[in-house]
Amino acid sequence: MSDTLVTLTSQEGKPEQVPRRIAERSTLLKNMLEDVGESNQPIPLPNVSHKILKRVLEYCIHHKDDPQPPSDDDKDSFDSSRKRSDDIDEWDQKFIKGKEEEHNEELFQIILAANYLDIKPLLDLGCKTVANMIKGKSPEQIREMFNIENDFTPEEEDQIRRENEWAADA
Amino acid sequence: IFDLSRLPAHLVENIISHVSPTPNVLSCLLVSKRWSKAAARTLYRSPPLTTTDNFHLLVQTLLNAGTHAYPSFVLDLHVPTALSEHLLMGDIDIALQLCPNLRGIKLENCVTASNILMQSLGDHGRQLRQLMLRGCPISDVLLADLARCCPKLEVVDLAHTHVTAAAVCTLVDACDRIRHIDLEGCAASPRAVSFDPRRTSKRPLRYLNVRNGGVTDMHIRFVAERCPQLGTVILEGCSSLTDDALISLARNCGEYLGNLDASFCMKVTDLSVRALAQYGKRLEVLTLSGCDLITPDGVQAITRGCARLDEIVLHGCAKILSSFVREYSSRQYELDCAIRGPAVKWLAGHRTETAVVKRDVGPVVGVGVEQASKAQEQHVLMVDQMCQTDEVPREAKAESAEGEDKGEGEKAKDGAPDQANATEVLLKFAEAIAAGKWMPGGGFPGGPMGSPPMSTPGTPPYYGYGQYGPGPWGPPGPGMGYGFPHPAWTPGSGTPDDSKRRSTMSDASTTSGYSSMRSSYISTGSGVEGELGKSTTKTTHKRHSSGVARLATEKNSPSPPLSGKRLSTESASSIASTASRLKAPSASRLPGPRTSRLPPPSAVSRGAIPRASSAALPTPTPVSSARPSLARASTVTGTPTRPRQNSTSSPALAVNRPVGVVTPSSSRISSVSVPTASTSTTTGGATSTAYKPRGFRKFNSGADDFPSRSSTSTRPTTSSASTSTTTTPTPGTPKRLQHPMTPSRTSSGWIAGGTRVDPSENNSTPVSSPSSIVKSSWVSGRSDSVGSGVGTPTTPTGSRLKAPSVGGMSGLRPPTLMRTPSGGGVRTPLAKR
Repeated sequence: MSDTLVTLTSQEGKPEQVPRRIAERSTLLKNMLEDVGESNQPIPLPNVSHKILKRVLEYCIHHKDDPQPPSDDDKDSFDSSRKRSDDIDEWDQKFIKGKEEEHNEELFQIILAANYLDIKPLLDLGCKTVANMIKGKSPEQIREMFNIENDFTPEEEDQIRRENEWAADA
Repeated sequence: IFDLSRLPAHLVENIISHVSPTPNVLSCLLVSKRWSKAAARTLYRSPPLTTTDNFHLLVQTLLNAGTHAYPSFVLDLHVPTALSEHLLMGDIDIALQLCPNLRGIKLENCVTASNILMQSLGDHGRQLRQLMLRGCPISDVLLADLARCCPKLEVVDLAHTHVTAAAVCTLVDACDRIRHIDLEGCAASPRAVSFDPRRTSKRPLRYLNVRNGGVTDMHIRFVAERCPQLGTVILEGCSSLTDDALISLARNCGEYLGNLDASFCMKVTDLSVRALAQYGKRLEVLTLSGCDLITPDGVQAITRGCARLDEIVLHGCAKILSSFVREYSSRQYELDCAIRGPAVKWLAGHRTETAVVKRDVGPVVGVGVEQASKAQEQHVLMVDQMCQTDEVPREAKAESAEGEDKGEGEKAKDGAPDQANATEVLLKFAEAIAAGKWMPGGGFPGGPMGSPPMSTPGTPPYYGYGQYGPGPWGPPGPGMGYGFPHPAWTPGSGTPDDSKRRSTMSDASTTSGYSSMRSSYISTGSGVEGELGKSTTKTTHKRHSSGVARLATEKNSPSPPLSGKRLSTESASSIASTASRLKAPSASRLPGPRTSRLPPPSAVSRGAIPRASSAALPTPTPVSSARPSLARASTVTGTPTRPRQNSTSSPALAVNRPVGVVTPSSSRISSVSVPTASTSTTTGGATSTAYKPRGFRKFNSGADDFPSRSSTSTRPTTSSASTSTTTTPTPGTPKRLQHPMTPSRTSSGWIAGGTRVDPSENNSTPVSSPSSIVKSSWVSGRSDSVGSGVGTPTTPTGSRLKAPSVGGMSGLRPPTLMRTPSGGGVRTPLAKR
């Protein structure tokens, strides 16, 4: 049963065949397939471009044997509340880097796709990568890097600084 | 380039949640409004606290309406130990009030923590899932209410606190999502465990740790019946546990139980092991170090029965170390014996003839093994039950069961289905003793056999306790009952308890009914003691059984008692008759009122059966109440073990207890009403911390009961007036009331809730005007909800909050307790909203 092929149709309408076992890394697809049962109908994924879909499937194939990540409820919040971003494994790091020139855009797309397809490890990988980009940057640098408009007035900025003074030396 | 504004908010949050450490998050806070909110959620989810100032600033931010709804972002509050030492309970109380979504609190080894914290958590922690107060001096007075107020509790860690074993039942009963309970080192509980047939819903408890705790079979039985999913159970060093506990665990939790540690549960026998072998389908790791009664047979049975067993640890088990089992141990230094991995399977396949031979030698194994140990188990159970309801003296019980089977009487009284045929069990038991299958008695290695039993100087030698050995005087002569006081002895010496017992004895000895009473007393005593004394030597057994034999014959004829070398067959019959006498004591034989005056051997707590038997002994040897020496070795495991405190002998109580109060139950209350403030100050710091939680009003309907706290700064007269109204009840209270109210002007401003009070300094001053100076930022805009509790003049009663254990109650609600000093111990402390 896990060997049966599933057809996924990307934004552009291109079909992509993957073993069901690979597709089930995505919680969205897993639930869909369970609902649909045995069927050869292609599954449309209108939110994912073909290029990104291939990248996502590349990730799924590499991680096909990973255990399912534990849900957040099972975790001891005191142990895992401090998430770390520096524990990315080597393959993942290479994978997420992708091609240098379109790195940022692709990363962004992968995060969105992982979010849509509900592939938690991939989503975390993307977020961690972005988080690493943020580290050590000043607010101005972050705004510049991600093209964000500053919608704070100087007074508001001051207030936020004051309110969070407690964390400054933490 | 990379337009993050297109990302949904929760993805921004996800990204920022991976940004650490804190300075980077602070940068994110200032990027844009959207980022700011996400960063705030990340930052406040579990605020990183390092210093006291840090904490104070945080609370100030939480207090004031800010850019974001900071308080609602706080999910976990972890106060590190380094910080918590300097925090006042009021600080934490305020933080708890402010954070409506708090899911977890972790505050470990905080000496200033007290039951106020429990109360505050009950009031404000409706969403609480994790309660981790390891090492805080809190008791279980408020635990039941806390559990009721926080229905979502999943993880509770109250290890090394002052809670008692009863907490485990409280938590299981009240929290239907409970997953993890850690009550390491909990004290023995004087309360009986009640099994309510209406409350049988199961709990998803997976982990239970009561290492070195005062739990009894009943507690474990309770948990096992309610929590079938228990996967890890740690009972190490729970010396009062018997096979009953382990068998009920095996039966109820066999489908899930993977890791069981019953090290140093010295009373555990092969019976438990066989039950585990039968039911423990998932058992992987079993630790029975120091369980001297485990035999190679049992070990082999479990290796054959439990398919998944991967490790069985039997360090220091007397019968194992010298047996073939040890050959399979991975290490063989000194007392090591741990069988791991494939060795488990090899052991299962081991065949040896010696094992068969051993069957007839060992005291527990033999032809009637199953029968004897079963009888033993049930007897233990019954004794347990008796201790549980020990408000009723045993003889009174026997009387109530008069004319009918004693077992039936017990059954009717306690409703325990397990004791169907106690008489038969007793008889079997007696047979087992006689046949040498099981050795009762004598489990008091420290007590010199037969030395003058009374330790009180000036008391005469007394033969009444001869069951423990004939003593240096030899067997008593003809005509002299085994249990008669020395002729030279006069009543009135010794402790009240002893003299009472002795006078009972001496009076009774003149009547013909004495011997029957005495024998019933002894057989009860031997039951208790026998439970202890499985590891005793053969010689003590002989002495014991001959002692019983003497007593048993004595009642039938005035002939001289049997000599101590009488063989066991005879003593068997006499024990049997003793047992049957115990079953139906006839009223005519019992000397009426005297009988009930015979002090029950166990008058204190059911958690301490060893102590029960030491009460039956005239010389309470320290050894009997001390923990077994092997159990001490458990400290080697690296966990900080604290010697278990028996409820009466705990040092904390000894400090708190006023002179003359004997029973532990009353001391709990009287420590509240008697002015012992000076003695019960803390062990912790030089200055003690006093704090009254805000919102007392909800506990007392009348507004005039005590000074209104929001207005104390302006109405000093009210407080003194209220003092006079509360002065009346006991002579003790006025003194305490006269402790001055210290102005709560604090240097750090807003922490007005926690006032430092030095009781020694102000003892003589009468109530002065409690001008509490409250910083304006504190009161402003919040005088209703928060300010009402602030700046309260604190009486030094609060300082006793830190007094460990049961004293915790005293500091909680001084006004309430003052008004009803006699019965104020048990009122419901937490207000139900």
